[in-house]
Amino acid sequence: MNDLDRLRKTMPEPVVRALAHAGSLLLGLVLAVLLHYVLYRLGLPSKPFIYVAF
Amino acid sequence: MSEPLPLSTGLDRSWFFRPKTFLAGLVAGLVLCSAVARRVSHRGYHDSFTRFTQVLSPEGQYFPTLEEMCGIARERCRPDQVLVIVGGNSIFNGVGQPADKMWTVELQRQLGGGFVVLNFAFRGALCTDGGAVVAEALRGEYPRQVYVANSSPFSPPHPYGADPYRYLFWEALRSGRLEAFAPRDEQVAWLKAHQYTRAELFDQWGRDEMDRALRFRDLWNWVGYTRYFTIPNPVTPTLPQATWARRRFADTEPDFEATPPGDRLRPEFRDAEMRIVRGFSEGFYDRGAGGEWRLKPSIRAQFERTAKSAFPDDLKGRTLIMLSRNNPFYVGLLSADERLRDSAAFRDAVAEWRKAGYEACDYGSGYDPADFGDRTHLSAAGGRKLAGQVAGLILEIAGKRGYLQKEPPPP
Repeated sequence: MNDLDRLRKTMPEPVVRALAHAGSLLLGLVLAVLLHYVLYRLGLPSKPFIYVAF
Repeated sequence: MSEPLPLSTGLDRSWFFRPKTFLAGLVAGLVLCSAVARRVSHRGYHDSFTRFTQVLSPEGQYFPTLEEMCGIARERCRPDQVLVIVGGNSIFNGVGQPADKMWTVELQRQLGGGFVVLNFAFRGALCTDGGAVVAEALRGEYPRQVYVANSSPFSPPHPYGADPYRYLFWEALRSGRLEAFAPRDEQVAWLKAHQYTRAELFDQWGRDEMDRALRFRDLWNWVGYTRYFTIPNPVTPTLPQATWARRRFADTEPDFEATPPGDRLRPEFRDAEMRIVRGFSEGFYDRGAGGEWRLKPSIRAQFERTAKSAFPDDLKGRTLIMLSRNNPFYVGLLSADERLRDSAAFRDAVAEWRKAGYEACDYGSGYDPADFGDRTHLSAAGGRKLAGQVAGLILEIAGKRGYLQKEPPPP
């Protein structure tokens, strides 16, 4: 965090704001994809169907 | 004393996190996933589809979605062609027939370019599972359509199918893709009341509704089919195959005909197979006054009720049910009296299906033991005989329903 804060102080404020928005948007997108995948996995049965033909 | 904590701390106060932008990203991500899923599933992505192999079925933890299956039909069938959807169980799936000798390939060859045959049969499925749901969902897009599936005498054709394929029925029902049909609705209400707890119904409803909005099954099936598969499964249990895109697995169904006919039937299974063969008729018949075999009235009544509700009335006439006879080797081991009962079961079952408004026929009488690979599945030779019979019946239905005219019939 300290390194990030030091980096922030070297950058002009509009750049900092743009980076913050871009980072937050990206985080939201990544978590959305992850949530989408988790919902898919939750919908699958834990034991697969075993077909036995006699 | 320590300093009082600020009222708001943590991420929402940090300079690099913007909660509103984060939420916008989350919503945009979900919308984007859903949009991609809708697009890819609608147009279809199974470029080398032959049938649902073990890798591409619930046995391999792959559950094809309704829209994915409709996409396969859209990829292959033009609106001016007659769509023939094949449903049913492993017999119609073509177990024991390699992809190039599959009976549906022969059916396609015999029907010609005016028809498109799609094999949507699954192992262990009912005639009302999988392909039946897709056929009904596509009734508006493809009004020139024949649905053909197999069954056994007086096997109840539950309108909601059977697990593990019932998920397709729920998916179609909840997304409004099925016709409103009162007899079926009554059966579904009975099923919900007697076979599911409230918690199970709520859980299923929640998942289906979320999937309707977000289409996670469609998206991740597409990823699993085209890019990378992430579900542990018994069909491809070891790395690296476990993670391979499902499209990389060719249809490598073994060939019954690689084994000489005399070696196909395992003597150690004979007793069990004979119990199954007898089971095709023995529970359904009793003796009439003259000693003849007579269908039990309770079986007839139960079958009539189920068959009536299995498919909506307007779709019954384009539904062809083929009743699968057993290998004549085993039928020949029945006593003469049991053979009479077996014949009566097929004759009566065909008559009952027809009485309920369906097209129906049986197949397998007159086949040789070499036409079978085991008690019930057909070899490629048997598949060719079946294809010839079914092609004739489909042409008859197509002619009767006006599918062969230039103008499409009303849906």
